[in-house]
This record gives sequence, C-alpha cells and structure tokens, in this order.
Amino acid sequence: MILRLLLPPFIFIPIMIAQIYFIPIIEISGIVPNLLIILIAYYTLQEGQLFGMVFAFFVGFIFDLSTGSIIGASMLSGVIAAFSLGFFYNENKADSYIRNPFFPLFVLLGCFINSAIFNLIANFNVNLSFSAIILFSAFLPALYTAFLGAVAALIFDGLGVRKRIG
Amino acid sequence: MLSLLRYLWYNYKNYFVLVFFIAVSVSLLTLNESPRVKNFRSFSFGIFSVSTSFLSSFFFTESRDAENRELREKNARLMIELNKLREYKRIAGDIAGLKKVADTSSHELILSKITYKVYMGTQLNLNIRNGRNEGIEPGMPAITHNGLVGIVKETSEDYSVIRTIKNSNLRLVIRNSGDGSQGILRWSGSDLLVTNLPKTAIVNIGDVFTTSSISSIIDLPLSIGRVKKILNPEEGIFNDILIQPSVDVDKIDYVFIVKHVPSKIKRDIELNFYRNR
Repeated sequence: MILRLLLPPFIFIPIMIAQIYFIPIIEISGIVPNLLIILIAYYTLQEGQLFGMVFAFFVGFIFDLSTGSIIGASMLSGVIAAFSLGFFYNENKADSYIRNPFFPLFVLLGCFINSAIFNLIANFNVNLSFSAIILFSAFLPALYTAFLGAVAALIFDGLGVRKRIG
Repeated sequence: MLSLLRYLWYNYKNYFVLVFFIAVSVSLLTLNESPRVKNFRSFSFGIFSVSTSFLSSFFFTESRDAENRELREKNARLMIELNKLREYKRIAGDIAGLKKVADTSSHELILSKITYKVYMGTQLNLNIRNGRNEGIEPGMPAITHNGLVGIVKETSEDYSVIRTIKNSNLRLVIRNSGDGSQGILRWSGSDLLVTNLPKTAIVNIGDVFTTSSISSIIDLPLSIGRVKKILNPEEGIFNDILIQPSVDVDKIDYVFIVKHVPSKIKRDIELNFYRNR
C-alpha cells in the first residue's frame, strides 16, 4: 500500500524530465506529445477518479513550477482531464483498459481535454482562432500522444504490468 | 446533520475534490502576477534548471568552437545592422544619422545556450543558461543571426525564460521594410500573422518585416520574417499577412540576448504593457 503511494512520484520525475528535455527533439512542426497525460491516464484508469485527480493536481503544480510557466494552468487542465477519464474507471476492466486498443483512446481523450482547457486558460485571447486551438493545439498533440500511448500500452504488456502493481 | 454530511461526502467526494482543486488552481492563476509568486516561480525554475542542467548536454550535442561562436555573434550583429540600414533607407535620414543608427557596438550580446524548450499548446518558451548574474532582465530581446526569437519573460540568477514569437501571448508592433506600414505580429497557434495592417499598405510577397521603433516592447529593428501570403486581399478594412519566420524557433540551440536597456523611466513605463500580459 505504502509502495503504491510512493511509486508515482518516482515514476513521475523521470517522465517530467523526459517531457522537458527529450520531447522537444521529437516535435513535428511544433506539435509535441504530452507524456504526463499518459501517466495521469494510467493512474486514473488503474486507481480511480480521486487518485487520478490528486495525482494530476500535484503533477501539474510541479510541472508549472519547473518550467516557469503560468502556475495553475497545468493543474487545472490536468485535474479536469483526470476527472473526465475517471468516469471510465472500472476495477474489473482496469487491466484491459491499460492495453491496446483502449489505452490510446483514453489517452487521446484525456490529452484533448487537457490541451483544450490549458490553451483556453493560458492563451485566452479573442483574436486567437478557436479552430487553431482545437486542431493544432489540442487534437494534433492528442493524436501524437495517443500514438505514444499505444507504445506505452505495448510496454505495459511487455513488462507484464497488472492491476495493483507495487 | 453529521450523517447527511457523511452521506454527501461518501457519494460526492470526487465532485468536492474537483471543486476544491479547481478553486485552488484558479486562485493560483489569479496570483501569477504578484511579486511573491513571481519570485517563487523564478526560484523554483532556477532550482530545477540547475539540478537538471547536466541533462541538456545529452540532448543538445552540437559541438562548437570559439570561432563558430564568434561568427554567430558577428552574424547577429550584422542582422541588427542590416535592419537598421533598411530602416535608414526607408526614412532617408542624413549621413550623421546613418552613422549613429548603424553603430551597433553599443549593443552588448550575450550568447546563451538553450537548456530546454517548453511546448504548451500555443505557447513555446525557451529556458536559457544565463540570468540576472549576467545582467539579463525581463523585456530584453533574444535573437539569432537570422532575426528575433522572442523576449526575456522571467529571470532567475543563472537562468531565464524566453517567450518566443511562437507564443500567442506575445504581440509586437512590426513594420514592413518596404513601405513602412505597421501591423501587429501574433502567433495564431499554427501560423505567424501580421494583423491590423491598413488596406492602403503596399505589401508584396517576399517583403521583410522587422520590429518597429514605435513598439513599446522592442525598439530595435530586428528581422521577423518575409511575407508568404496575403490572407484577405478582397475583404475587411485591414490586411492579414502570413509571415515566413526568419528564425525556426523549433530548431535553434543557442540565442543571443541583446542587452538593450532604454532609460529606466522609459523602460518602466513602456514595459508595463509587457508585464501586464
């Protein structure tokens, strides 16, 4: 139980460092995936809505502080994404939900909600094209993240990750 | 009463937690501009940058020697000079004015390595390995030899955050080097646009846009990009222009910070516009 609670921060820190240092290398025309959402989706689908929201809140807070960006934006968008994904939490299906083909779909949904809300909060601007926010800043990054989500699902499969790991 | 509260908590605790987290996040969002939060943010991103800076050498492996660095700096200076000369050509001032304008030696350039890039939707910010200790201040322009990269947004002692031109929150007054018409530069989330350009302006494909001397944020003429397409030539009272940026912000590893500090009073008044964004 204690290990279950201690494990997420230890997984989160290398993922955040990869998000900051590695992800810009694989950007495509300024579109980048969001590794943190993959982690949030994983924990929400495995541990439930409440755990997912708490996790997303702290992940967002640390990410905002580390990158010098607007404090509160990642927290809010992450919490709402986790809350939305939490409706799909089902203890009996948690194992299958972190595998293909479900996991990338959940990641797609979570990342879309996260990016759309983040951009509406952090970049609120009447001149900004709504379609640009939805397509370029929310849907395309979500699609890219979902692809990495599929890769993550394969890794979970390969590692034999099961419910209640740790 | 207690049992009612217990019932509500048991059945709706996720909603209570959601509302609590939203309230905390929104409160923090409103406090972002307060000096205490700014200082805390500068301190925290400085700590993070220091503790993870060794990683940047793994991901940014470009090898450079002193000569390369010198050439980059020369190129950056030439870019500023070229744009000043363009500006001079347009206004057709006197020879004394030309000498004064073309003198770029007064602008100290600080070469700085990008430690990491932060992509957040329609915002791209850069974290660089120089800060207040080198005299970098918020509002200073960041350039490469090709043109403007962005503006220093925040500084810690050894690190700074640059708000790039690919950030929807950065808007600048820019000028067409051809006819001198001025518009507002903004990032739409997918394209770099010039808006509010009068229909009477004579704009041709390939015209160079630079920052305008009337800008309250940057008063040096720095190259922004070339006209790629005129988006609405037949409609509206203003032209919208699609710009091909001079600098591919996604691909750069180094920037120069121009230590361009106007008089303190002027700077304090003018940068209010930038600070309030």
